[in-house]
Amino acid sequence: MILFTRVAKRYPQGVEALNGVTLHLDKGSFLFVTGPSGAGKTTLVKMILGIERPTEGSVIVAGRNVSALRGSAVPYLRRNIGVVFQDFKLLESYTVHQNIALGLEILGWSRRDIRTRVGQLLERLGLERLATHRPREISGGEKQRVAIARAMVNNPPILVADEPTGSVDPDLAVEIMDLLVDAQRKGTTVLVATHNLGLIERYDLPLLYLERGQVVEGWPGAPGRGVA
Amino acid sequence: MTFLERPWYFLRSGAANLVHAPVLTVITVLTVGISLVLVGFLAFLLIEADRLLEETTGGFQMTVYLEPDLSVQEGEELAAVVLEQWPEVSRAVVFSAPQDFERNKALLPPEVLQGLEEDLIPAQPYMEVTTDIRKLHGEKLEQMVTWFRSLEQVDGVDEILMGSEKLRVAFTLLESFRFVAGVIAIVVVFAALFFVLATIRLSAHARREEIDVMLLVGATRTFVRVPFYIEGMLAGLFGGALAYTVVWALENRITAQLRAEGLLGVSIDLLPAGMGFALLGGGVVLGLLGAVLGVGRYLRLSR
Repeated sequence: MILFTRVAKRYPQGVEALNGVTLHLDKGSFLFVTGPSGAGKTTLVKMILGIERPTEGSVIVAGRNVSALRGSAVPYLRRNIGVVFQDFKLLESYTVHQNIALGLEILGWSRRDIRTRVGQLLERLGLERLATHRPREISGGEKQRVAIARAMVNNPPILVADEPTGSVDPDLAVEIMDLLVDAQRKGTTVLVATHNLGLIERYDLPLLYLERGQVVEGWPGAPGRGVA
Repeated sequence: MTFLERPWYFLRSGAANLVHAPVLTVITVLTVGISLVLVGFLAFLLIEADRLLEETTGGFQMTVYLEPDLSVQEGEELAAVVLEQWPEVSRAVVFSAPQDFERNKALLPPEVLQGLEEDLIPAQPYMEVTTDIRKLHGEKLEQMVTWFRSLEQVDGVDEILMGSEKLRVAFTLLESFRFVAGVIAIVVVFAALFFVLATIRLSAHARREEIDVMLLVGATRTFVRVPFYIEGMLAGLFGGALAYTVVWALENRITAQLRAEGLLGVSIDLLPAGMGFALLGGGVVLGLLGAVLGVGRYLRLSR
């Protein structure tokens, strides 16, 4: 589902964000990506989304070679990927319902089908009463749940989360992680970039540790963990 | 999404963009409207100037006097050559010597005619050539004058009279007016285009977060662009409607003024058939063009 082969990313100023990264995620698998700030976690996420292209190596996501993907094909790649950001990226002028429905409108779903699907998700995530609220009227945890709902609304085969628990308290972080793990159990490939070590320790799931753009094998912080 | 749901979505989004920055929208609509009125007014003046020139001069006429011994048939052959050579010539008619005599006689006052011997009245076959002034722009007049001057060397042609000097002056003035009007029209249209472009760019800038999120969740650039195109077209349409209203009000006012002056027979038609369509269509095209230019570069920078 996601395949990185000896991927390097160098920016024009000479900054090396990734160097020789290889990883392989099958359908329905889960991977934590961690490491200190500047390790290359966000660059890795951006490559999966087709925002960045590798300088060397190849990136294949949902059967598409991101390295050689034409600009006009990127939207179709992204329709296979649900994405959750630390800063939620919810639209303030939209209601909770509209924020979640956005992806379906882009895909051309009918209004009736959108209503039904968004209704189901709101109920599943306990957000029904907030459907008509604007993001500024809800809490941080609720915002992140809305962001997850938006990412999952079209049942994408891949879910990518960049620091999804960065802005929430520990209890809420667990709640959010449970949602992501639940999605993985239902067959979604999930990649979570985080530096929340407490959270990583809580879940016995495969881990990739990055430092200065390189994969660190056998990271001592998580002995015995499966590494992608 | 059903067949109509997507267009409706785009229309809703485009209209929402317009409402988002009302002051800028009003300025854009006003600019488009005023520019269309000005361009339309300049076009009207140019058309009227051509018509006025045609009416006052009666067309550009030349009289080709033929040798007295030339038959009417030979004269008509020459007329056929003229008509074939110059599509600008609308009429070339040959008159016989007796017809010339009658014409000249009719021109003379009765007191002059009394006591005048008839063989003193000029009588010579001639060809009257009338041209369509509207087709004589640029170098055409000079080319035609030179060609007709060369006719004087042809056997059977006696003399050619042509009043081209006044026409040259009129043409020079008209060309200058046409040039100035063209420059003004271009400046005005560019100003309108600039305002539409600025409005759309500000609108896109205000929605940059929304655009980024849309692109991240799989929107194509076309999907993102279309609402801005709709916004531009709507602003242009409102501008066109404003222009139509202004012209309509102007026409009513002028007509009322003419009636008040007692000029009941005089009418002015500022809104001929198709003018409404031209104003609305012109506004829409202007709005769309501004939107395409405004949002194009902005989206090229987004990923």
